Amino acid sequence: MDPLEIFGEDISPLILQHLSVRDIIKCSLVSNFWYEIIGQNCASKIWLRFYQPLEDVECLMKSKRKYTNFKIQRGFPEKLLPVFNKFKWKHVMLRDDIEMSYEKLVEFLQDLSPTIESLDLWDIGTKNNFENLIKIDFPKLKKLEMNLTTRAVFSLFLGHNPKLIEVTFRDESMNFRNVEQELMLPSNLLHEFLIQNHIEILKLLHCDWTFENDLTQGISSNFKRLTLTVTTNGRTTNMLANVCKFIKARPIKNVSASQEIHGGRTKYLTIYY
Amino acid sequence: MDIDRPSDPQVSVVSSDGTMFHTTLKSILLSGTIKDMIEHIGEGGVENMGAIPLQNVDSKTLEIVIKWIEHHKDNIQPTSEEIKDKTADFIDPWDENFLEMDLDKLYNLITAANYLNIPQLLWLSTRKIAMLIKNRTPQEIRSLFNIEDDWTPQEIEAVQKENQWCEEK
Repeated sequence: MDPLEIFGEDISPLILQHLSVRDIIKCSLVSNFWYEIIGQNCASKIWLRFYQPLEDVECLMKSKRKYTNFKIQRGFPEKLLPVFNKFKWKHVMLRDDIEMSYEKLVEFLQDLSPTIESLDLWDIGTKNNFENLIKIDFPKLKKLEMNLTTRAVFSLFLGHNPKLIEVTFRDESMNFRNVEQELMLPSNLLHEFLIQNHIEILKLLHCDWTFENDLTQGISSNFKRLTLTVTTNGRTTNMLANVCKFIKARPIKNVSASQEIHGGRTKYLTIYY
Repeated sequence: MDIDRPSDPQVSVVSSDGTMFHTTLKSILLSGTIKDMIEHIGEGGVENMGAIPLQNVDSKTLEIVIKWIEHHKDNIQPTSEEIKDKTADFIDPWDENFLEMDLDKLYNLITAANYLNIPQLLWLSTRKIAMLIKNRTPQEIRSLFNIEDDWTPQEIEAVQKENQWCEEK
């Protein structure tokens, strides 16, 4: 009983996702079918994670296939540089690296910037003090997902991103108490970001802010969809106040509310323009 | 819906082959699919609700699922968001033991956990398969799952070359 044949494209990635880079590449040598499935999944649904960077890097360097999706956990970026040059990464998740210095993060993102198409940053903060905020251009970036942690990290994305259409922000700034003064992301900075880019889809998750003004004012006419989470822990009033501002400012086609498919703790409100 | 209430009413579910099982509301709410159904009915409707038909789960598998949800009914369940980033630091020995079953049952359990939307059980059961794959050579994986070696002679050379590093170990 071939598990990948039985489970197909929805569940197979869930199995493979538990494995290291080494094991995933090894699996692609099991049969033609596995080779195909893993190839397809590596391009869309599964992420190569580095558990033992040195071994994993070694086996990736020998592989003839093109891998584009990488998930990087704490402390690995520098060790991955050869792989990174070989594969021209397109999709990257960077996780849980609050120890990374601002300089290193800037360096890492600058290396990625020419080829990267989607980027997901989770809990990336920095303890350093910095005076000059740096902006990076991402010429191919289409999709950006990030936890809003510090102003400095956010500012990196205030460069030129001509292809960027889908953006998700989660506000996690409360978890970064050590950098409290630095971070509070003023809504005008977010507004600047929205005006500069041609965003079509914007998701603001757990963003418990009251905006000074309507964020959609003056932004691209291609703007199609805004999703807000309505959390169940008493923040709802602020969220609703924000929604009212959005609704007043632009003509709306449709509004829909839905619950997260798994878990079910978060409610989403989506406004279609 | 707030499930924190003193009593934990009885709920019945029926498998695809017509066997009825009794469990409790708290346990069954671990299934996202059933939770959604119950939310549609409304809290008051639970007592008057008939047995819930589960057309995609047979009785053998449902029995296994119920054993798991009843054991975990008081534990906080991770959301799918949290599961996505979960790494296996610690697996409850009870779960390890629970997952000792033949492949056939395990496959059915995975399908059921997916259908019933029980993220933690799906995570555990898919991990179990992954652990079988881990540290095995491609040849060993083929024999484990009875997979035909379908590489053509032309491909085999290239494959073996790429294969070297994992046969060395």
